[in-house]
Amino acid sequence: MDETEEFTEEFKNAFRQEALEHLTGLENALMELEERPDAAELIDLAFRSMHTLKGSGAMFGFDVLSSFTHDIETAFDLVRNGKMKITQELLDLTFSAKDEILCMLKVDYDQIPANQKKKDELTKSFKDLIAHVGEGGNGAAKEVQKQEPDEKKVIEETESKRYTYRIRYKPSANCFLHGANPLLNIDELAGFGRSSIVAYTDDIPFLDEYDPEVCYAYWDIILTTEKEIDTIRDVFAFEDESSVVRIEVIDVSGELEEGDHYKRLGEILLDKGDLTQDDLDPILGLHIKLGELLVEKGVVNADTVEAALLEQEHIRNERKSRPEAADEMATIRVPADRLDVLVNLVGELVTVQAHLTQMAVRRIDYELLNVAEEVERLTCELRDNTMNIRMLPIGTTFNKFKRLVRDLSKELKKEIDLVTEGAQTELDKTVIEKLNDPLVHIIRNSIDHGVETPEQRKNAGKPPKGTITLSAIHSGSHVLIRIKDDGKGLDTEAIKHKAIERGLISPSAELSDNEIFSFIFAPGFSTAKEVTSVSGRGVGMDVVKRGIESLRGSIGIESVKGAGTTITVKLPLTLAIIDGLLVKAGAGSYVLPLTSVLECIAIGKDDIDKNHGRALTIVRGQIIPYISLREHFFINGGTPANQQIIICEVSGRRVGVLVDQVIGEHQTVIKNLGGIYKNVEILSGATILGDGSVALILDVNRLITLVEGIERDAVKRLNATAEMSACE
Amino acid sequence: MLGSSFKKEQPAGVMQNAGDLKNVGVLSLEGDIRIEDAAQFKDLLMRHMEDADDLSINISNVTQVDLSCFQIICSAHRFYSRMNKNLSLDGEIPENIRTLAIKSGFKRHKGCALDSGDTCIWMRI
Repeated sequence: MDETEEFTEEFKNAFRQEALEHLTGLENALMELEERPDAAELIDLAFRSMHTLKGSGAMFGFDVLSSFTHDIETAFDLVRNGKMKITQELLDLTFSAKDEILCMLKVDYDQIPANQKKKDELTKSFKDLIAHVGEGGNGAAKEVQKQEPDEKKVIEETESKRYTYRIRYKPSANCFLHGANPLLNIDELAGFGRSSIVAYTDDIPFLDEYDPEVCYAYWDIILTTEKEIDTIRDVFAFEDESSVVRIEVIDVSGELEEGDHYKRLGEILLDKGDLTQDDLDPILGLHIKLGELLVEKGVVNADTVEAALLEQEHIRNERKSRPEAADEMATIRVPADRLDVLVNLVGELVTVQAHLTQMAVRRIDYELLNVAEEVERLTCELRDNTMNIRMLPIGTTFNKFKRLVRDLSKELKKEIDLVTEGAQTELDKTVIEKLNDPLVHIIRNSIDHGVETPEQRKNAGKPPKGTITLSAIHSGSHVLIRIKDDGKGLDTEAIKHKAIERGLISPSAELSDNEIFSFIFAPGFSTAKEVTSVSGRGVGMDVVKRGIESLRGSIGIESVKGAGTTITVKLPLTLAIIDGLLVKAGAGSYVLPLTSVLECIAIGKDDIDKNHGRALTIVRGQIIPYISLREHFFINGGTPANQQIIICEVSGRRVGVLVDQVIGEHQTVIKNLGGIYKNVEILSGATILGDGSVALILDVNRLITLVEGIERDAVKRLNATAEMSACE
Repeated sequence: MLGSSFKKEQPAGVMQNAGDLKNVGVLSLEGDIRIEDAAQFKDLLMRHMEDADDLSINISNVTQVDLSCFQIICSAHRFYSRMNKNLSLDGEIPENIRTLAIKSGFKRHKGCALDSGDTCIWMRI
């Protein structure tokens, strides 16, 4: 690829990204339009999305996309102008069109014949809709043409800058004699935009000295407009030499200082030259309203203060009225991988800082310790800020599910509302990305198995429309995502029956509801009597569980038969840095995620020996099994007389991990282990310690599962050996 | 073309003592008050200052004004204030005049330094 092609591809990718954002916005707008078909702002948003896609698409070589969006744009333009109504047909067509545009963003769209057919069908449907409007009144095409200037205006409005000018206008004293009317100039300026005007009257003499043919008044005009300064100057083109016209730019949208604050009164007066610093200083110390005091002391007159206050109010209002523009300017688009690099670098910095602190402590160098403390403080701030940059509101993911619920409930002939709560809850970008698939599975299950058909619901005394509530809340260093439906709930008997059938439990086993519910996460487990296109194949919930666990999260189920099911997903806020407990086993260092650690218990060699090889300990009357890291990692020799058991809680179970020594809490920057270690499931990564050595991060959940599997196999082998011995 | 009529009125309310009694003159104006009428308008205000303690100007029948009218009202108000008299606007202010005064930046939240009793005409509009 030569340089030009590379450049073009870069622009194309930028367009793709922009288009995705527009399509997401469009989809949300369409969904809301189903509820509020008259919402003008949503109709306008749909039109603008299509308009931008059409224009930008053509610019970046997406010609098919550009011509395809033309008819959709036309349709929404007709709606905008009251020539067409929002109908379900239009919305359904636009939903399909949105999906098609998404496909058009792919490189090989044109090469697939089926795409061409689908595109042509949709285009025809839109054309038919538009033609139908045309038959009812004015020609549709004609109407669209009429709107062209409006469209240009839309673009101008969004792209042009808004300047705020401070204009001092003092017409010549004898302007009346020349037939001039200064108020006409002021009126012309006011026509350019939003203005605040103060007439200065301080030069007007007492009536006995008043000359009826003299112009005494002069003005300060604060004008916010898109006009350039030359246009403003042109207004005063016919003023004579003795007139004073001073034009200053005091605010430009997006360029000068932003925020809805503006200069203080004193600053404005100094800026305008109405006041000197020497006049201002003694008055500032008096803590009385500056304006009143300045007038009282005769430093400036009331008109000057009035003009300054008006300027202050004008700019504040102007800045408040453009929050969106300000937001756009305050936001920059950064590729996600650059952010990842930044996080990695911060990780490195955290490690080096730990090294520095260790060195300073070791050398007992107080100057170095001071520096190390300062670096530590700054590093912590930098780390927290960098992590915050990666945080995204979960609402972006939630919005996708609205479409899923809409389409799927239609397909299954169910009526379901999706209610979302806590869309502003923030989660690490990586967690959000990986959360999508598990949530899709859960919601599909809720729609298919949970919520009943309208008829079934009526028979059960429920409203015909079911509700799925998707909520997110912060809970300490975790986020809890709940998917709650008001459907038929889980049938514990059916699950138990299936578990017995599959040999997972014995028929006599007595299990709590929670234990029964946990079978849902067993691979290939499904109680569905028939397999639908949506679910019932038993593939899903085990994948969901694994997906959530790979995010260091957990999943829980609560269900009441006939009332509904709630699935709670608990996720860590971030995957990049975790609070860990640093431990040692032999020469190796290991980190256990602090979120799963309950407590640490010292255990002597004698206590271990007493158990005759059984890895069990009793903590406050409860028997707790433990896993020895030394045994697991084949570390021989040098076992200390006293070791530590780290009691962890995973999925409601308590299991200990036996280590040599607990070093303490550790801010763990997670590093991937690389491809070679991808099959080592019990390690979720590694971290670099202050002294440069590496500590492995244990995935306690998988470690327990693995050890359980090994033990189960060992028991099976023993039983088999025993059976063989018995046969012999 | 400016037309006018003048009459004296006794103020309403309970008189506490003889010193409280003030003559209030009402100057009713009609037609236009523009630069060509400015000299006449000034003379009217000067003349009637002698006729009453306080003066009310009724401009409800005034059709058009320009900057010179605003300047003279302002000037007269200061002049009256200096003489310890009060000049005020009486009756309904025509909408076109109110709008022009606002658009020309004459509206005030607070009067000038000479306006001791918050009687500034531009605070009323």
